[in-house]
Amino acid sequence: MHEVSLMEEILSIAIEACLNNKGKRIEKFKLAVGQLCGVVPEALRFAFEVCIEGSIAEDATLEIEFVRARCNCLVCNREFVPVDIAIYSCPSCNQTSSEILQGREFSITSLEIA
Amino acid sequence: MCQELHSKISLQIHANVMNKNDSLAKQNRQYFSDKGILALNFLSSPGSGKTSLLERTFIDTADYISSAVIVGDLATNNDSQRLQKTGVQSLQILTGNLCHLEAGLVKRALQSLNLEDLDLLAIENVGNLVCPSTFDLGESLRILLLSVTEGEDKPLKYPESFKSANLIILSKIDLVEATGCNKSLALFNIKQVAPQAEILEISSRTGQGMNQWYEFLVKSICQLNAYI
Repeated sequence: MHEVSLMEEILSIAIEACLNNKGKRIEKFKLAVGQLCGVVPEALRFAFEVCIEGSIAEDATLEIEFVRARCNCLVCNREFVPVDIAIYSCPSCNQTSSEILQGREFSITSLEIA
Repeated sequence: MCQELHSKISLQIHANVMNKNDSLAKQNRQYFSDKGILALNFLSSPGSGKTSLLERTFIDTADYISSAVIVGDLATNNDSQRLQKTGVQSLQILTGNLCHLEAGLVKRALQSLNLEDLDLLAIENVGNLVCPSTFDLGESLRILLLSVTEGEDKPLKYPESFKSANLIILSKIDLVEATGCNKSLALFNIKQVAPQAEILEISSRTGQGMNQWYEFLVKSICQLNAYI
């Protein structure tokens, strides 16, 4: 359950960005959470409710965009989105791929401030 | 003016949440690389044999690999004390409620160790196959242990950790028969989930496979120092 410490980090980045842009409160967080970044969106939502309490983001909402993994098949030299969550087999040749192009990201994409 | 004050602004910030950890990890990595130290981050479930593997490794390689260890646990310094008995420098990081090590904790720990003429720094992460995979510590390589007592399908249950490992050690290999482990299925699952990783089968108790492990360490230390 490392989502609480990660949410504290998100809140601290967001508050700084809000104040730097002369905002008084944060109304909405938009996050991108990659399938492989090791963060569970449900746990993050729970942590969000706990962390925002008493802050300038107290009434904010949270939107999470789940970013699916994307691989390159070295045999077919073709990109694909794996169907299985653990085994990344190419849909054309069935070879498992270790070249992961997307899915490790964990970022704040945008904020709505007022 | 008032309208502007009360209007909403949308900020496209694209800030990496892991930025703070990642920049500290980068500093650690640079430090290890400058000093020619092979830093290994050991991940596994609790009880899969990380400490036993390190104990035997430090004793067996004492003549040719200069090692130190940092151990992360929620509480107690039992593991650190066990490892200290092998003659290496050993430092315990007590994480309290934190379920993983972070780059900043490792960076701070480095200040308490004498790293001159060191070849190998083992970082034994908190026993947990979920959270530690998110945090880069600045390690040279990530080693994941899966013991044969844990079930053949563990790679399928924790794909993020397995996909992040450079080497996967199937440990307690002497217990295959006693536990009824289907070893070929376990190996098949590891290869399917983590095609990027090398695999070793070892037993710290009987010594099976330990020579290949030591060869891996020596090879990795030589490769690291070839670039300096």
